[in-house]
Amino acid sequence: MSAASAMDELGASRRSSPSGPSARNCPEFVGVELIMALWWPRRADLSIIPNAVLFIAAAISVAVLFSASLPFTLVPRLSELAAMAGSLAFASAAVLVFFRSRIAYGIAIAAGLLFLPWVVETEVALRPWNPWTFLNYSGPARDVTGTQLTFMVRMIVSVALITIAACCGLFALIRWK
Amino acid sequence: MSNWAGIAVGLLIVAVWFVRSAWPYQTAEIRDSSAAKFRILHVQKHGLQFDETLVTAARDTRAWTSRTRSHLFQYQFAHAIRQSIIPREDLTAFLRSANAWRLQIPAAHSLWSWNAEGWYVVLDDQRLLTFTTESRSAPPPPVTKIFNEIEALPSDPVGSFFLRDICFGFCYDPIAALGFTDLRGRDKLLGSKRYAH
Repeated sequence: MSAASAMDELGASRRSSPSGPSARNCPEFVGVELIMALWWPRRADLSIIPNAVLFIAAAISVAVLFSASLPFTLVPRLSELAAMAGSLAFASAAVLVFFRSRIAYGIAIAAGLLFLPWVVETEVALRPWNPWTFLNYSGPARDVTGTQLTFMVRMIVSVALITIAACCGLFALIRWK
Repeated sequence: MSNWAGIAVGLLIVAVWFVRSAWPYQTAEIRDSSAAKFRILHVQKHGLQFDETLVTAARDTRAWTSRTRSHLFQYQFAHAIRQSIIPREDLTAFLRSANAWRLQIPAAHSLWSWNAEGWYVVLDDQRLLTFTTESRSAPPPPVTKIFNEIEALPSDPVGSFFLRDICFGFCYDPIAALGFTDLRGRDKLLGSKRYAH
């Protein structure tokens, strides 16, 4: 919700208030009401809260994923930079969704697309294996180390969260239109 | 409503990725290239439980017996391996009889009946023979004979290991239980180029 529309809503509520001007003219009350109108989503927009949670979860998952992988790659590849930018984009979408929902959903879709090249590149690099086959690891340890296993689990979680977050963004944008 | 649709589509995409990646069963390991002279796998299925015994024989008469008990809906299961030495004449007699087999063999598949039994034989890591109660076929007597002989031989423990299946037992099939847990070996055995890289 924008500040302008919040002010409009505030004005409308004050005009329609049956309690009279005595309490509502109090400056402190107006301030609290303005803050509530700015920050508290309207009843019809409660659906943005799960989206915001998904966006922030996706951002955190990518940040955690790359915090583990960065020691292996001193010079990040272009796809890694794009994925990290995607993480920042998801974080910004999680905040922006409360003010400019349509833009936030667009950013979330773009963030998902930014993450995609890194996923494809990693899948191709792992061939003939893939992240799921690392979870079929049989012991005792020979070729698969705990670090690799952790990285694959984080990658699967990140891909799942980002896919769901981007799909939610896409469907929310379709609903908006 | 759009949230649920987004979550559903997202989960569907992840599910497709999972199925395409996890099947057929393979492990992220580099397999040694030592070929076995023959492998015999005996599987007994009781409900959701599988009791598997794998006998593997090398050209130099060493043999390994591996026992695995797994359940469907189970991620990790243990298997123990023991090593023994087969009398050379027994190995030679079995290989001579195996070379003479001319059998119409159904394709290898997992057992799906509630109670079932299967025998899977691989000769020279190339020729796969399947005998299951589901296909109403019984193994030739030399198979069960040498299998029982190797099981009865004095053996030394090699160690206990564990296997994991991310599909909770649904992807781990007889081909994987026979030791073909890499796509290249699996393709070579099944004569398929589907998973070749």
